[in-house]
Amino acid sequence: MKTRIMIALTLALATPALAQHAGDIGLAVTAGRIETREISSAGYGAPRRVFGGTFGDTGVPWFTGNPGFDAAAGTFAAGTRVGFRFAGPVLAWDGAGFVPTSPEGPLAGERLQVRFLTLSVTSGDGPVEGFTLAVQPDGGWHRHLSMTLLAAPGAQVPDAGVYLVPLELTSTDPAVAASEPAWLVLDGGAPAGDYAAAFAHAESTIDGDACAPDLNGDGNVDGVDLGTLLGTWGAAGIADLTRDGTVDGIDLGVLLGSWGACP
Amino acid sequence: MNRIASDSTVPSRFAPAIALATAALMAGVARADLEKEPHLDLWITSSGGTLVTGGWDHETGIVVNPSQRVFEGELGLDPFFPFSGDEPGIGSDLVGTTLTMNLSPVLGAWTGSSFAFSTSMLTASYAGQSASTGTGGSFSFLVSAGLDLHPEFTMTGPGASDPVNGIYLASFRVGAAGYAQSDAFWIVFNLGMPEADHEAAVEWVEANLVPAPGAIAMIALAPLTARSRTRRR
Repeated sequence: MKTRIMIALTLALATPALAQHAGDIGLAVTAGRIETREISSAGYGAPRRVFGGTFGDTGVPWFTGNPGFDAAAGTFAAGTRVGFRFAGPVLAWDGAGFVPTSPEGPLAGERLQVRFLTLSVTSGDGPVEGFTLAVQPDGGWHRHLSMTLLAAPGAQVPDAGVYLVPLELTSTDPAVAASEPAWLVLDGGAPAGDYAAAFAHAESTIDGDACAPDLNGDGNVDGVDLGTLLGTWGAAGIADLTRDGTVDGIDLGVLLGSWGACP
Repeated sequence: MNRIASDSTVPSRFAPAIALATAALMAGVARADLEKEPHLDLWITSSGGTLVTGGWDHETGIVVNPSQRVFEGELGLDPFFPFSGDEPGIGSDLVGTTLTMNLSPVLGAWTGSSFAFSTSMLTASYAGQSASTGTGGSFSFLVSAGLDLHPEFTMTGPGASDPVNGIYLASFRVGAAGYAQSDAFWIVFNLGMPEADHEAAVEWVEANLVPAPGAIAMIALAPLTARSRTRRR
Protein backbone atom coordinates (compact mmCIF):
# COMPACT_ATOMS: atom_id res chain seq x y z
CA MET A 1 0.00 0.00 0.00
CA LYS A 2 2.76 2.40 0.86
CA THR A 3 4.97 1.27 -1.98
CA ARG A 4 3.64 3.86 -4.44
CA ILE A 5 4.09 6.59 -1.86
CA MET A 6 7.67 5.53 -1.26
CA ILE A 7 8.34 5.41 -4.99
CA ALA A 8 6.81 8.83 -5.45
CA LEU A 9 8.80 10.36 -2.64
CA THR A 10 12.02 8.70 -3.78
CA LEU A 11 11.58 9.96 -7.32
CA ALA A 12 10.70 13.44 -6.12
CA LEU A 13 13.89 13.59 -4.09
CA ALA A 14 16.18 11.94 -6.61
CA THR A 15 15.37 13.81 -9.81
CA PRO A 16 16.34 17.32 -10.82
CA ALA A 17 13.77 19.82 -9.65
CA LEU A 18 13.83 21.60 -12.98
CA ALA A 19 13.31 18.75 -15.44
CA GLN A 20 11.47 20.51 -18.21
CA HIS A 21 10.01 17.83 -20.42
CA ALA A 22 7.65 17.00 -17.55
CA GLY A 23 4.15 17.84 -18.67
CA ASP A 24 4.92 17.41 -22.34
CA ILE A 25 3.31 14.70 -24.40
CA GLY A 26 5.73 11.83 -24.69
CA LEU A 27 5.82 10.00 -27.99
CA ALA A 28 6.97 6.42 -28.45
CA VAL A 29 6.49 3.87 -31.20
CA THR A 30 4.98 0.63 -29.97
CA ALA A 31 4.10 -2.23 -32.31
CA GLY A 32 4.38 0.05 -35.32
CA ARG A 33 2.12 2.74 -33.92
CA ILE A 34 2.74 6.06 -32.22
CA GLU A 35 1.82 5.89 -28.57
CA THR A 36 1.38 8.92 -26.34
CA ARG A 37 2.89 8.67 -22.88
CA GLU A 38 3.12 10.74 -19.77
CA ILE A 39 6.42 12.40 -18.97
CA SER A 40 7.24 13.15 -15.38
CA SER A 41 10.45 14.30 -13.80
CA ALA A 42 11.33 10.59 -13.68
CA GLY A 43 11.18 10.38 -17.47
CA TYR A 44 8.81 8.58 -19.81
CA GLY A 45 6.00 6.81 -18.04
CA ALA A 46 2.91 4.82 -18.84
CA PRO A 47 0.72 5.28 -21.91
CA ARG A 48 -1.56 8.25 -21.43
CA ARG A 49 -4.03 10.02 -23.65
CA VAL A 50 -5.16 13.04 -21.63
CA PHE A 51 -2.88 16.04 -21.18
CA GLY A 52 -3.39 19.48 -19.69
CA GLY A 53 -2.50 23.02 -20.67
CA THR A 54 -3.48 26.60 -19.98
CA PHE A 55 -4.14 29.42 -22.43
CA GLY A 56 -2.29 32.56 -21.43
CA ASP A 57 0.36 30.68 -19.45
CA THR A 58 3.10 32.88 -20.93
CA GLY A 59 1.11 36.09 -20.64
CA VAL A 60 -0.40 36.11 -24.13
CA PRO A 61 -4.19 35.79 -23.95
CA TRP A 62 -5.69 32.72 -25.61
CA PHE A 63 -2.28 31.49 -26.66
CA THR A 64 -0.19 28.60 -25.42
CA GLY A 65 2.67 26.47 -26.62
CA ASN A 66 1.97 23.81 -24.02
CA PRO A 67 1.89 20.95 -23.73
CA GLY A 68 4.84 20.35 -26.01
CA PHE A 69 5.68 17.07 -27.65
CA ASP A 70 8.78 15.05 -27.00
CA ALA A 71 10.18 11.85 -28.43
CA ALA A 72 13.51 10.51 -27.26
CA ALA A 73 16.43 10.12 -29.64
CA GLY A 74 16.02 7.07 -31.83
CA THR A 75 12.23 7.02 -31.68
CA PHE A 76 11.71 7.91 -35.33
CA ALA A 77 13.72 7.41 -38.49
CA ALA A 78 15.87 10.36 -39.45
CA GLY A 79 14.56 12.01 -42.59
CA THR A 80 10.93 11.30 -41.77
CA ARG A 81 8.45 13.81 -40.41
CA VAL A 82 6.07 13.74 -37.47
CA GLY A 83 2.93 15.78 -37.24
CA PHE A 84 -0.67 15.82 -36.16
CA ARG A 85 -4.24 15.96 -37.32
CA PHE A 86 -7.37 17.14 -35.56
CA ALA A 87 -9.34 13.96 -34.86
CA GLY A 88 -12.51 16.00 -34.53
CA PRO A 89 -13.81 19.43 -33.61
CA VAL A 90 -12.79 21.37 -30.53
CA LEU A 91 -15.26 20.74 -27.72
CA ALA A 92 -16.18 22.74 -24.62
CA TRP A 93 -16.97 21.61 -21.06
CA ASP A 94 -20.58 22.19 -20.02
CA GLY A 95 -20.30 20.92 -16.45
CA ALA A 96 -21.25 17.37 -17.27
CA GLY A 97 -19.41 16.53 -20.46
CA PHE A 98 -17.72 17.91 -23.55
CA VAL A 99 -20.05 19.39 -26.16
CA PRO A 100 -19.68 21.44 -29.36
CA THR A 101 -18.46 24.97 -28.76
CA SER A 102 -21.75 26.32 -30.11
CA PRO A 103 -25.26 24.86 -30.34
CA GLU A 104 -25.10 25.75 -34.03
CA GLY A 105 -22.06 23.53 -34.45
CA PRO A 106 -18.26 23.66 -34.11
CA LEU A 107 -17.75 26.21 -36.86
CA ALA A 108 -20.09 28.65 -35.11
CA GLY A 109 -18.09 28.51 -31.91
CA GLU A 110 -14.46 28.65 -30.84
CA ARG A 111 -11.84 26.89 -32.92
CA LEU A 112 -8.16 26.22 -32.40
CA GLN A 113 -5.46 27.50 -34.72
CA VAL A 114 -2.17 25.59 -34.60
CA ARG A 115 0.86 27.24 -36.15
CA PHE A 116 4.57 26.65 -36.59
CA LEU A 117 6.54 29.27 -38.52
CA THR A 118 4.79 29.52 -41.90
CA LEU A 119 2.47 26.54 -41.40
CA SER A 120 -0.99 27.03 -39.94
CA VAL A 121 -4.11 24.91 -39.64
CA THR A 122 -7.42 25.49 -37.87
CA SER A 123 -9.79 22.94 -36.41
CA GLY A 124 -13.10 22.34 -38.19
CA ASP A 125 -16.34 20.48 -37.76
CA GLY A 126 -14.65 17.11 -38.20
CA PRO A 127 -11.20 15.66 -38.76
CA VAL A 128 -8.73 18.15 -40.24
CA GLU A 129 -5.28 17.27 -41.50
CA GLY A 130 -2.52 19.16 -39.71
CA PHE A 131 1.10 19.46 -40.74
CA THR A 132 4.36 17.66 -40.16
CA LEU A 133 7.77 18.78 -38.91
CA ALA A 134 11.13 17.16 -39.52
CA VAL A 135 12.44 14.54 -37.15
CA GLN A 136 15.72 15.61 -35.57
CA PRO A 137 18.91 14.05 -36.95
CA ASP A 138 19.14 11.87 -33.83
CA GLY A 139 15.63 10.49 -34.34
CA GLY A 140 14.09 12.56 -31.56
CA TRP A 141 11.29 15.07 -31.94
CA HIS A 142 10.73 17.94 -29.56
CA ARG A 143 8.23 20.60 -30.55
CA HIS A 144 6.10 23.28 -29.00
CA LEU A 145 3.34 24.27 -31.40
CA SER A 146 1.77 27.71 -31.23
CA MET A 147 -1.88 27.20 -30.29
CA THR A 148 -4.36 30.07 -30.36
CA LEU A 149 -8.03 29.75 -29.47
CA LEU A 150 -10.05 31.72 -32.01
CA ALA A 151 -13.22 33.47 -30.93
CA ALA A 152 -16.56 32.43 -32.36
CA PRO A 153 -17.51 34.35 -35.51
CA GLY A 154 -18.68 37.79 -34.49
CA ALA A 155 -17.24 37.58 -30.99
CA GLN A 156 -14.30 39.62 -29.77
CA VAL A 157 -12.76 36.95 -27.58
CA PRO A 158 -13.45 33.30 -26.82
CA ASP A 159 -15.73 32.43 -23.94
CA ALA A 160 -13.99 31.49 -20.72
CA GLY A 161 -14.14 27.76 -20.21
CA VAL A 162 -12.44 24.42 -20.59
CA TYR A 163 -11.74 23.21 -24.11
CA LEU A 164 -10.92 19.75 -25.38
CA VAL A 165 -8.78 19.27 -28.48
CA PRO A 166 -8.58 15.74 -29.92
CA LEU A 167 -5.31 15.18 -31.78
CA GLU A 168 -3.78 12.22 -33.53
CA LEU A 169 -0.02 12.16 -33.92
CA THR A 170 1.13 11.10 -37.36
CA SER A 171 4.34 10.08 -39.11
CA THR A 172 5.34 10.15 -42.76
CA ASP A 173 7.11 6.84 -42.15
CA PRO A 174 4.86 4.24 -43.79
CA ALA A 175 5.92 1.75 -41.11
CA VAL A 176 4.55 3.95 -38.33
CA ALA A 177 0.80 4.31 -37.89
CA ALA A 178 -0.92 7.31 -36.35
CA SER A 179 -1.64 7.35 -32.64
CA GLU A 180 -4.99 6.89 -31.07
CA PRO A 181 -6.53 10.29 -30.35
CA ALA A 182 -4.90 12.17 -27.48
CA TRP A 183 -7.01 14.75 -25.69
CA LEU A 184 -5.64 18.14 -24.81
CA VAL A 185 -7.73 19.64 -22.03
CA LEU A 186 -6.97 23.34 -22.13
CA ASP A 187 -7.94 25.84 -19.45
CA GLY A 188 -9.32 29.06 -20.92
CA GLY A 189 -9.92 31.01 -17.73
CA ALA A 190 -12.47 28.62 -16.30
CA PRO A 191 -13.26 28.55 -12.59
CA ALA A 192 -10.69 26.33 -10.89
CA GLY A 193 -13.20 23.67 -9.95
CA ASP A 194 -14.47 23.44 -13.52
CA TYR A 195 -11.06 22.65 -14.91
CA ALA A 196 -10.38 19.97 -12.32
CA ALA A 197 -13.78 18.38 -12.97
CA ALA A 198 -13.35 18.53 -16.73
CA PHE A 199 -9.90 17.00 -16.59
CA ALA A 200 -11.05 14.20 -14.32
CA HIS A 201 -13.98 13.55 -16.65
CA ALA A 202 -11.72 13.37 -19.67
CA GLU A 203 -9.31 11.09 -17.89
CA SER A 204 -11.98 8.70 -16.73
CA THR A 205 -13.54 8.69 -20.18
CA ILE A 206 -10.52 8.10 -22.34
CA ASP A 207 -7.89 6.62 -20.09
CA GLY A 208 -10.31 4.46 -18.18
CA ASP A 209 -8.70 5.42 -14.90
CA ALA A 210 -11.63 6.66 -12.92
CA CYS A 211 -9.64 6.84 -9.73
CA ALA A 212 -6.29 8.35 -10.70
CA PRO A 213 -6.16 10.42 -7.48
CA ASP A 214 -5.94 7.17 -5.50
CA LEU A 215 -2.20 7.55 -5.42
CA ASN A 216 -1.45 4.59 -3.17
CA GLY A 217 -3.87 2.28 -4.94
CA ASP A 218 -5.84 1.26 -1.82
CA GLY A 219 -9.23 1.91 -3.37
CA ASN A 220 -9.85 5.14 -1.52
CA VAL A 221 -8.95 8.76 -2.15
CA ASP A 222 -8.15 9.88 1.35
CA GLY A 223 -5.73 11.63 3.65
CA VAL A 224 -2.82 9.42 2.64
CA ASP A 225 -3.21 10.48 -0.97
CA LEU A 226 -3.58 14.09 0.13
CA GLY A 227 -0.36 13.81 2.12
CA THR A 228 1.46 12.45 -0.90
CA LEU A 229 0.17 15.30 -3.03
CA LEU A 230 1.15 17.96 -0.53
CA GLY A 231 4.55 16.33 -0.13
CA THR A 232 5.35 16.86 -3.78
CA TRP A 233 3.79 20.32 -4.06
CA GLY A 234 5.41 22.42 -6.76
CA ALA A 235 7.27 19.50 -8.31
CA ALA A 236 6.31 16.89 -10.87
CA GLY A 237 5.50 13.33 -9.96
CA ILE A 238 2.78 10.84 -9.31
CA ALA A 239 0.49 13.49 -7.79
CA ASP A 240 0.69 15.64 -10.91
CA LEU A 241 -2.75 14.47 -11.95
CA THR A 242 -3.12 16.90 -14.83
CA ARG A 243 0.34 15.99 -16.15
CA ASP A 244 1.25 19.62 -16.64
CA GLY A 245 4.58 19.17 -14.90
CA THR A 246 3.68 20.70 -11.53
CA VAL A 247 1.68 19.53 -8.53
CA ASP A 248 -0.53 22.50 -7.80
CA GLY A 249 -3.98 23.65 -6.85
CA ILE A 250 -5.60 22.11 -9.89
CA ASP A 251 -4.30 18.69 -8.91
CA LEU A 252 -5.57 19.31 -5.41
CA GLY A 253 -8.97 20.11 -6.87
CA VAL A 254 -8.98 16.88 -8.89
CA LEU A 255 -8.06 14.89 -5.80
CA LEU A 256 -10.65 16.52 -3.58
CA GLY A 257 -13.25 16.07 -6.29
CA SER A 258 -12.68 12.31 -6.16
CA TRP A 259 -12.62 12.09 -2.35
CA GLY A 260 -13.86 8.83 -0.92
CA ALA A 261 -14.14 5.30 -2.21
CA CYS A 262 -13.20 4.75 -5.84
CA PRO A 263 -16.11 3.86 -8.13
CA MET B 1 36.30 27.31 -42.38
CA ASN B 2 37.27 30.49 -44.15
CA ARG B 3 34.11 31.02 -46.08
CA ILE B 4 32.97 34.62 -46.07
CA ALA B 5 29.27 35.39 -46.13
CA SER B 6 28.69 37.24 -49.38
CA ASP B 7 26.75 40.08 -47.79
CA SER B 8 29.63 41.03 -45.53
CA THR B 9 30.93 43.40 -48.19
CA VAL B 10 29.10 46.62 -47.47
CA PRO B 11 28.94 50.04 -49.13
CA SER B 12 31.04 52.84 -47.67
CA ARG B 13 27.94 54.67 -46.47
CA PHE B 14 27.65 51.97 -43.87
CA ALA B 15 31.09 52.73 -42.51
CA PRO B 16 29.79 54.51 -39.40
CA ALA B 17 27.43 51.65 -38.77
CA ILE B 18 30.27 49.20 -39.19
CA ALA B 19 32.33 51.09 -36.67
CA LEU B 20 29.39 51.17 -34.30
CA ALA B 21 28.74 47.50 -34.85
CA THR B 22 32.34 46.63 -34.33
CA ALA B 23 32.42 48.65 -31.14
CA ALA B 24 29.27 46.97 -29.92
CA LEU B 25 30.49 43.52 -30.79
CA MET B 26 33.88 44.18 -29.27
CA ALA B 27 32.52 45.71 -26.08
CA GLY B 28 34.36 43.18 -24.00
CA VAL B 29 37.75 42.11 -25.27
CA ALA B 30 39.26 40.13 -22.43
CA ARG B 31 39.59 36.44 -23.08
CA ALA B 32 37.08 34.36 -21.20
CA ASP B 33 38.89 31.02 -21.51
CA LEU B 34 35.60 29.17 -21.46
CA GLU B 35 35.57 25.46 -21.98
CA LYS B 36 33.86 24.13 -25.08
CA GLU B 37 30.17 23.99 -24.24
CA PRO B 38 27.65 21.43 -25.39
CA HIS B 39 24.55 22.72 -27.19
CA LEU B 40 22.53 24.16 -24.33
CA ASP B 41 19.33 26.12 -24.06
CA LEU B 42 19.16 29.56 -22.50
CA TRP B 43 18.47 29.75 -18.78
CA ILE B 44 17.45 33.07 -17.25
CA THR B 45 17.58 33.72 -13.54
CA SER B 46 18.62 36.54 -11.23
CA SER B 47 21.72 37.13 -9.18
CA GLY B 48 21.55 39.90 -6.62
CA GLY B 49 18.70 41.56 -8.46
CA THR B 50 20.39 41.42 -11.86
CA LEU B 51 19.19 39.11 -14.60
CA VAL B 52 21.83 36.62 -15.68
CA THR B 53 21.97 33.92 -18.34
CA GLY B 54 23.17 30.36 -18.08
CA GLY B 55 23.38 27.20 -20.11
CA TRP B 56 20.53 24.80 -19.43
CA ASP B 57 20.46 21.14 -20.37
CA HIS B 58 16.87 20.75 -21.39
CA GLU B 59 16.98 16.97 -21.16
CA THR B 60 18.01 16.88 -17.50
CA GLY B 61 16.71 20.26 -16.39
CA ILE B 62 20.13 21.04 -14.96
CA VAL B 63 21.78 24.42 -15.39
CA VAL B 64 25.14 23.15 -16.56
CA ASN B 65 26.91 26.48 -16.90
CA PRO B 66 25.36 29.19 -14.71
CA SER B 67 27.34 32.00 -16.38
CA GLN B 68 27.03 31.03 -20.04
CA ARG B 69 26.51 33.93 -22.42
CA VAL B 70 27.07 32.35 -25.84
CA PHE B 71 24.46 30.03 -27.33
CA GLU B 72 24.02 28.17 -30.59
CA GLY B 73 21.14 27.91 -33.03
CA GLU B 74 20.71 25.88 -36.20
CA LEU B 75 18.63 27.25 -39.05
CA GLY B 76 17.23 25.34 -41.98
CA LEU B 77 17.34 21.86 -40.48
CA ASP B 78 13.77 21.33 -41.64
CA PRO B 79 13.59 21.66 -45.45
CA PHE B 80 10.09 23.14 -45.05
CA PHE B 81 11.72 26.12 -43.33
CA PRO B 82 15.07 26.59 -45.08
CA PHE B 83 15.97 29.79 -43.22
CA SER B 84 14.33 29.22 -39.84
CA GLY B 85 14.66 27.36 -36.59
CA ASP B 86 13.34 27.34 -33.04
CA GLU B 87 16.49 26.71 -31.02
CA PRO B 88 17.83 27.59 -28.55
CA GLY B 89 14.86 27.30 -26.24
CA ILE B 90 14.44 29.37 -23.10
CA GLY B 91 13.84 28.31 -19.51
CA SER B 92 13.67 30.30 -16.30
CA ASP B 93 12.90 29.93 -12.63
CA LEU B 94 11.53 33.47 -12.28
CA VAL B 95 7.93 32.26 -12.16
CA GLY B 96 5.46 35.13 -12.35
CA THR B 97 7.96 37.52 -13.93
CA THR B 98 7.47 38.98 -17.40
CA LEU B 99 10.78 38.84 -19.24
CA THR B 100 11.54 41.04 -22.23
CA MET B 101 14.10 39.89 -24.77
CA ASN B 102 15.77 42.92 -26.33
CA LEU B 103 17.42 42.21 -29.67
CA SER B 104 20.32 44.43 -30.76
CA PRO B 105 19.96 46.06 -34.20
CA VAL B 106 23.40 44.78 -35.17
CA LEU B 107 23.79 41.44 -36.94
CA GLY B 108 27.24 40.01 -37.54
CA ALA B 109 28.34 37.61 -40.27
CA TRP B 110 31.29 35.28 -39.76
CA THR B 111 34.24 35.95 -42.06
CA GLY B 112 36.26 32.94 -41.08
CA SER B 113 38.33 34.86 -38.57
CA SER B 114 35.90 37.36 -37.00
CA PHE B 115 32.47 38.89 -37.51
CA ALA B 116 31.63 41.69 -39.92
CA PHE B 117 28.49 43.80 -40.15
CA SER B 118 25.75 41.99 -42.06
CA THR B 119 22.97 43.59 -44.07
CA SER B 120 20.90 40.44 -43.76
CA MET B 121 18.24 40.39 -41.07
CA LEU B 122 17.37 38.03 -38.25
CA THR B 123 13.82 38.07 -36.90
CA ALA B 124 12.91 36.52 -33.56
CA SER B 125 9.20 35.87 -33.04
CA TYR B 126 7.00 34.61 -30.26
CA ALA B 127 3.21 34.52 -29.99
CA GLY B 128 2.57 37.26 -32.53
CA GLN B 129 5.42 39.49 -31.34
CA SER B 130 8.60 39.92 -33.33
CA ALA B 131 11.92 41.73 -33.15
CA SER B 132 14.40 42.14 -35.98
CA THR B 133 17.98 43.19 -36.38
CA GLY B 134 18.32 46.35 -38.40
CA THR B 135 15.82 48.16 -36.22
CA GLY B 136 16.16 46.18 -33.04
CA GLY B 137 13.13 45.36 -30.95
CA SER B 138 11.82 43.08 -28.27
CA PHE B 139 9.32 40.42 -27.34
CA SER B 140 8.00 39.50 -23.94
CA PHE B 141 6.62 36.51 -22.13
CA LEU B 142 5.47 35.54 -18.67
CA VAL B 143 7.49 32.89 -16.92
CA SER B 144 5.23 30.04 -15.90
CA ALA B 145 6.20 26.93 -13.96
CA GLY B 146 8.20 24.58 -16.14
CA LEU B 147 8.75 27.18 -18.83
CA ASP B 148 10.16 25.74 -22.06
CA LEU B 149 9.73 28.47 -24.62
CA HIS B 150 10.91 28.25 -28.19
CA PRO B 151 10.99 31.53 -30.12
CA GLU B 152 11.08 31.24 -33.89
CA PHE B 153 14.19 32.60 -35.59
CA THR B 154 14.20 33.43 -39.30
CA MET B 155 16.91 34.89 -41.54
CA THR B 156 16.16 37.05 -44.56
CA GLY B 157 18.64 38.51 -47.00
CA PRO B 158 18.96 42.16 -48.05
CA GLY B 159 15.75 43.45 -49.62
CA ALA B 160 13.80 40.44 -48.33
CA SER B 161 15.81 38.14 -50.59
CA ASP B 162 16.82 34.66 -49.54
CA PRO B 163 19.76 34.84 -47.15
CA VAL B 164 23.09 33.36 -48.14
CA ASN B 165 24.47 30.49 -46.16
CA GLY B 166 26.64 31.71 -43.36
CA ILE B 167 27.12 31.98 -39.64
CA TYR B 168 25.36 34.90 -38.05
CA LEU B 169 25.73 36.57 -34.68
CA ALA B 170 22.85 38.24 -32.83
CA SER B 171 23.09 39.96 -29.47
CA PHE B 172 20.36 40.14 -26.84
CA ARG B 173 19.80 41.50 -23.38
CA VAL B 174 16.94 40.43 -21.15
CA GLY B 175 15.05 42.80 -18.90
CA ALA B 176 12.20 42.67 -16.40
CA ALA B 177 10.51 45.05 -14.02
CA GLY B 178 12.21 44.93 -10.64
CA TYR B 179 15.48 43.56 -12.00
CA ALA B 180 18.57 45.12 -13.52
CA GLN B 181 18.92 44.22 -17.19
CA SER B 182 21.28 41.40 -18.04
CA ASP B 183 24.62 41.84 -19.71
CA ALA B 184 24.63 41.10 -23.41
CA PHE B 185 24.45 37.48 -24.48
CA TRP B 186 24.84 36.11 -27.95
CA ILE B 187 23.29 33.49 -30.19
CA VAL B 188 25.47 32.19 -33.01
CA PHE B 189 23.23 30.89 -35.79
CA ASN B 190 24.38 28.44 -38.42
CA LEU B 191 22.68 28.54 -41.79
CA GLY B 192 23.95 25.75 -43.99
CA MET B 193 27.60 25.82 -42.99
CA PRO B 194 29.80 22.98 -41.71
CA GLU B 195 29.46 22.48 -38.00
CA ALA B 196 33.21 22.93 -37.57
CA ASP B 197 32.86 26.50 -38.83
CA HIS B 198 29.96 27.07 -36.46
CA GLU B 199 32.02 25.89 -33.53
CA ALA B 200 34.95 28.06 -34.57
CA ALA B 201 32.67 31.09 -34.66
CA VAL B 202 31.25 30.24 -31.23
CA GLU B 203 34.73 29.91 -29.82
CA TRP B 204 35.66 33.28 -31.31
CA VAL B 205 32.71 34.92 -29.59
CA GLU B 206 33.55 33.26 -26.29
CA ALA B 207 37.15 34.37 -26.57
CA ASN B 208 36.61 37.90 -27.83
CA LEU B 209 33.23 39.19 -26.70
CA VAL B 210 32.60 37.61 -23.32
CA PRO B 211 34.52 39.52 -20.65
CA ALA B 212 36.49 37.31 -18.32
CA PRO B 213 35.55 37.61 -14.62
CA GLY B 214 38.69 39.66 -14.01
CA ALA B 215 37.78 42.04 -16.79
CA ILE B 216 34.30 42.51 -15.35
CA ALA B 217 35.79 43.34 -11.97
CA MET B 218 38.13 45.87 -13.55
CA ILE B 219 35.30 47.46 -15.49
CA ALA B 220 33.21 47.69 -12.31
CA LEU B 221 36.08 49.15 -10.33
CA ALA B 222 37.18 51.61 -12.97
CA PRO B 223 34.81 54.46 -11.98
CA LEU B 224 35.73 54.04 -8.33
CA THR B 225 39.40 54.13 -9.18
CA ALA B 226 38.93 57.26 -11.25
CA ARG B 227 36.97 58.93 -8.47
CA SER B 228 39.61 58.01 -5.95
CA ARG B 229 42.29 59.56 -8.09
CA THR B 230 40.23 62.69 -8.47
CA ARG B 231 39.84 63.06 -4.73
CA ARG B 232 43.57 62.69 -4.16
CA ARG B 233 44.31 65.68 -6.36
